[in-house]
Amino acid sequence: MKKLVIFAVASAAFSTPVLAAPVTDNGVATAEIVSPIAIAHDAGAELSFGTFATGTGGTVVVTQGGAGSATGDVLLVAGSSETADSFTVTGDANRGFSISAGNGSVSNGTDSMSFVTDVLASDTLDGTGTATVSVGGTLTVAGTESTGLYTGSYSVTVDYL
Amino acid sequence: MRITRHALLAGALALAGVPSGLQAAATTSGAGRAEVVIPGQIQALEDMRFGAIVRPVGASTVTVAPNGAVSATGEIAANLNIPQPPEGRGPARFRLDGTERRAFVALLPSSITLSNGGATMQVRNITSNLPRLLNRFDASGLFFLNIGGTLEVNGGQQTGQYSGEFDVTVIFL
Repeated sequence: MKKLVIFAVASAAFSTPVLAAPVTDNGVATAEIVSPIAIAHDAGAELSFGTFATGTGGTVVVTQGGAGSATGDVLLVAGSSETADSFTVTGDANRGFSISAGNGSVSNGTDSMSFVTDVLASDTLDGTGTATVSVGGTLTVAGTESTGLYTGSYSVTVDYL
Repeated sequence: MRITRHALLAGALALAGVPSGLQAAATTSGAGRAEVVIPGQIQALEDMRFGAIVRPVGASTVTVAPNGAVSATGEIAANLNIPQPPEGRGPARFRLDGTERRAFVALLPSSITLSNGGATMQVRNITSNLPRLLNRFDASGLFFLNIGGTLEVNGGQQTGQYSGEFDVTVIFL
């Protein structure tokens, strides 16, 4: 047993070079730089709650698809045009992003009405790195507002998921 | 003498593995697997992966440590957790086949240039999991070398897929 072991060790010693030639292999380092996400309001688009008589109050609802309807005593007048708002989002193709829209109010300088927005929580940029975000909302009408044109603003924020 | 003691120990282990009592005959098939390696080799296993990075306005960095920890500076830090490609982020990995107790030295690049064909970025501060300059293989005769670094992303860096090659040389002493 002992002799065999010594023989093996001697054999191993002969087969191992004292100093082997250096060996080299290639490594690869990788990274992908993606476009930052951006959002722009589409020219001419707006979240419009149309033209209505307040009655004793209620709400005007505009869907993300742009369909308007009234609740309570509010009455949309004939020819009223309700529209959803529209934004263009650009960034990295096929990447998902989150959307958040703030609420806001509209005013005619005397009275104001508040609205909440309705938007998808998230979406995905298409193969060209573009997506459209539509915003609907619900306007609360007290029934005591003076007549006139009411305007206001709200903010929309997008971020990569 | 030390070698002899090892041999005797191995013999004892082999004896212990033999069942002492009589058992009913039972047969099953076992799986055989063998891998032949040539000692004194290096083999790349994984790339150094910095993953998907949102283009910053100002110069920012992403660091991948040899242990896989990822950190960032500048604007990239705020967007570090965006979904990553399937391979994820991580250090480069190499398999070194040596022999037990043999000493070796690994030569790492001082920097790596990544290109997308048009623009370039640099990886600097290359780090590894080598404990010291001169290292020794343990009883397994294997060492898995992990290499990380800091990717320097320029402000307004061109978008695209970047890659770059680097050499790792091992001298078996």
